[in-house]
Amino acid sequence: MTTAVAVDRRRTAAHPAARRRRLLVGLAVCLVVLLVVCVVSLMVGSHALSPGTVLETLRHRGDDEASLIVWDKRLPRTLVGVLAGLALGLAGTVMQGLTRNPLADPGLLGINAGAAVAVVVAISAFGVTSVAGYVPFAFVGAALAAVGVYGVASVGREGATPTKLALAGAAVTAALTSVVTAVLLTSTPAISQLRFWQVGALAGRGSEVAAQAVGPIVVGAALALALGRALDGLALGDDVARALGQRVGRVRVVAAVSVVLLCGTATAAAGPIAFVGLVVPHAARRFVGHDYRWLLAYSAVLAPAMLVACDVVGRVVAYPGELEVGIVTAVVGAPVFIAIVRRGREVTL
Amino acid sequence: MAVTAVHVARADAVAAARDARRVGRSREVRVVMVLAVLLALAAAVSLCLGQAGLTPGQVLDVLLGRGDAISRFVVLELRGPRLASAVLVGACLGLAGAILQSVVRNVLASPDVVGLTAGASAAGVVGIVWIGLSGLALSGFVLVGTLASALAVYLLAWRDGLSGYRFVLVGIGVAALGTAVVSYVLTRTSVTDARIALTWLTGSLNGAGGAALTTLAVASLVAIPAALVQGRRLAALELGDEAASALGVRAELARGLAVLTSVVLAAVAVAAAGPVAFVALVAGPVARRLTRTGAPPLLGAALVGALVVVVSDAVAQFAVPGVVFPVGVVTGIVGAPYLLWLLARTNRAGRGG
Amino acid sequence: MPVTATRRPRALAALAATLAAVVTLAGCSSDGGSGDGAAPTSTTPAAATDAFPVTIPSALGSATIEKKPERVVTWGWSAQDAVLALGVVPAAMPKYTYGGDAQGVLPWDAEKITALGGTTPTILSGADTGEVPFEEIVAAKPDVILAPYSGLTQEDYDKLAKIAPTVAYPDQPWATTWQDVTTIVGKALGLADQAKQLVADTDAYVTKLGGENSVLKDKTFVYGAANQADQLTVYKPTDPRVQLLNQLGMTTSPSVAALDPKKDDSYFYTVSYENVSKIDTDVLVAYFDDQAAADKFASDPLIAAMPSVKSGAFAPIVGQSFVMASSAPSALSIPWMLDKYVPQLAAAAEKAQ
Repeated sequence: MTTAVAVDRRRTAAHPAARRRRLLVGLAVCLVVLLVVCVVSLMVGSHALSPGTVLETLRHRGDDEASLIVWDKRLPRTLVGVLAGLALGLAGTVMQGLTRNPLADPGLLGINAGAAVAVVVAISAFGVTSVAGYVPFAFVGAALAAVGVYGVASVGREGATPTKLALAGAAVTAALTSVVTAVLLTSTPAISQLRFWQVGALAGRGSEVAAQAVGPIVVGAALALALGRALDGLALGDDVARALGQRVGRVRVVAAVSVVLLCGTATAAAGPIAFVGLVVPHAARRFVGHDYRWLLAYSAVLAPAMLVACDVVGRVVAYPGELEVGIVTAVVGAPVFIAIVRRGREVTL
Repeated sequence: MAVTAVHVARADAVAAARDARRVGRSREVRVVMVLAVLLALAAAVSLCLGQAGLTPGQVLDVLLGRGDAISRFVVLELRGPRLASAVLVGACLGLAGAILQSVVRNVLASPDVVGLTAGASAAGVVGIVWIGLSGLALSGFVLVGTLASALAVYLLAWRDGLSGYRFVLVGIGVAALGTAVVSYVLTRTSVTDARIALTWLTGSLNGAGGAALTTLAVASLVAIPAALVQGRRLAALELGDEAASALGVRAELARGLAVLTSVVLAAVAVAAAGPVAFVALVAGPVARRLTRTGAPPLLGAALVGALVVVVSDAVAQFAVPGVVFPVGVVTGIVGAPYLLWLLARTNRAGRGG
Repeated sequence: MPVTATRRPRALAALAATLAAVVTLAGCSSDGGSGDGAAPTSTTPAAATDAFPVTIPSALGSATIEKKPERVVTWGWSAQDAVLALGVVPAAMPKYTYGGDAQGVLPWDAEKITALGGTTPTILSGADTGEVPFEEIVAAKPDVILAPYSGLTQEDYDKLAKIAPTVAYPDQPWATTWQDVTTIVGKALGLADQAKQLVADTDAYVTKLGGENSVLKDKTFVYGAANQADQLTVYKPTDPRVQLLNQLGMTTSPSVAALDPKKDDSYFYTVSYENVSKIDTDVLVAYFDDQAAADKFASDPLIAAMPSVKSGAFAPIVGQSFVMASSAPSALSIPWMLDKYVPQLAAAAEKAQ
């Protein structure tokens, strides 16, 4: 009783309008940060170009080396990074709301594993070698895995409860990962290519990849953002949500579909980048509280900023090569995450 | 009158509880015995499989102390140690997972999730590729690496006591770090090294035998009984801290000890065979669904783990002619459908959760 | 490696192993040709009897070969090439999924086996995963096991040594030059002089090819690979692929050393596509699994802008067998590959500015 009252008091301590204003300002600040990060992503790379040169190429696209670098590499890469980050942040938030489990990560629905199996099949059976070629395979694989997981978990009276989802997801992920490894170990080209795709990278993702990714991600994002209020209800528990008039089953299906669209496409485009979907919602919760509508909005802006920022870091630390973004997000994100967990009070969902 | 009625009611309730417990325990005993028999069968079969062309009769001869030199070499030097490693690694992993899941009260908690396996993987990959270790030296290095990452998780998660929830969250962070290290090393090395590292990473029993097996056996002999005796305390912990204290269990101490045991078990197993996926995650839930008692089924989990690894190793070696897979590839494929099937079955019966 | 104390079980095992070795050797010499796998014939008169017994040291232990081996088992890369080049057909050799035919035999090996009139050896599984198939090797009844270019661990070696005298790599895993491989194999087979001649002949052949294609002389080259998205792997002078091109008379481009982030004796480093303009070279060489991959690489805007690619001084090595021939050079694979590749390379060198 004391805790509930304390929470209530904290929430309504600031006048609702003041709180909304504060959150709006915060969101605007985050948007500015995202824009700045994107500009930096165009300016900074493994090959040092002066800002003046970059601005010049943006105005007049020529076929000199600087134009090639900015237009053919950095611009599409930033775009894919923003899309993938947006997708992962939203998917992570929805996933945590859907499963009421802080361990939930979009990869839990078997999405990463499903995508990996499909990519391995693409490499070894169909001889696909380009990242854009992987994308349709990866997406289908991710979707199939998620459908499988959701299907198994929803057998039974209660439907897809968080525990059953988690168990089914873990089972399918482990099985599919084993399949991937089995194929990898018997196919040198597969190992050769997949070990790089597995890391998660934005390099080599050209405008075709961005074009492929935009559609599903926009749809998925729209679905996710619309789920805000429903996720608030779900967080109170299935019975309370039903009592409040929510169609729990339908909400779950829509949430799962949005996660598959978002995370499946992001993984298909950039490979598995598992950490972003976990860290960003947690960090956002510190500022925002438990309102899912604001959580979704903040995640949608902070996650791409984090992803693109990590990509930029990866470009400059390993001259003359580059460090993949999947490695940077883990190395940068993990300590931040641990610090958040340590400093915060017991986080509830 | 009311008092007597209450007394009678309470006596009835106590008797009912005692009966239920007895039934539950006898079911547990039956399940354990069936699992043990299955394990023995699987072991016998795997001793007879192999390309060296030994008949079951020859294998039996060797076990009885007779048999020619080649048969003795194959059974005692190749198949025997491999089987022994499989059983011990499976038992350790199954126990480690079951204990952790019980302490953290989250079915997803396994040494993999909590960063132990990732820490072990990182140590293993670095040891293989950058330092060029193998065998006992590699096992030792991996053991140290696993314990170090567990210590890191523990220290980072400790704040006025150990909250299981925080432990797991920090573990996820450490796991991500470990995975990043592994990815980094794998992408910065030649394909041949990457393949060797990948084989180890998947969990392989091919190097079983000799000093490594002895170490594994000794460590298991200490850790497994130490884990099993904590069963009752774990059951009490699952009821909540206050109930546990009422039952005479010091919650914080018991939790810390349980987590330590789980870490040591996982570290020993991973040091011996590399990180064999999924066994620690699945053995506990499978055993729990089989025994259907409320208490954490430690012995059952150990047997399930051993059975999964022994069967997987046999499948890994002989399923695809001409290809020898590391055992970890198969544990995922073997363990997962079974768990899914159990899940669907209990769900349909309405007992899901 | 730690030395373990002798305990009774280990003494028994050692005894069994010695018996196994003696029985195996005795069985082989009395068996004659009862096993499958052709009886090996040398194309030269029998080697002098004072070639045996011979002791060959290696990083993992010494192998003492008592008499001329008849059943030879190879493991790792290139050993079977050397054995075949010396006129002996192995009893068993590893499977090459990458670059090999449907059975897993590399093209130059298949040609040589046909030329020697022998039957295809038993193909050993596990080469891709690095897991040594002990039982298959036992079934092959070897007189000697040759693995001079491999990644054997100490445990693998100890087990193999109990089956037959085993020759491992002299210093580091996966670091033996093809010349050393040939010499070591020659010594083990009692054909040391022939091996020396073979090495000299092959080296002379490469130099002759270089001489015939004088356009190659002193042209700079960069040997790369396009494994990672938007990153070019650049091989350094310590890599055997680079050394082979050096033998043809070409020079490694100074850019390779200039861009190297770590001036050590590793084999390669990666360069982001953003930086490829900093590579200054006459000819660009890279390997690809198929033509589609090569085309895709050349069509990337930043790669296409490289002077060597623009002018057509780009000589891709296309096809798995070719890639294998250059990644695992040997006395057999070098002529096989260079015959087809050098004309292409010369044409590219002509186009260099």
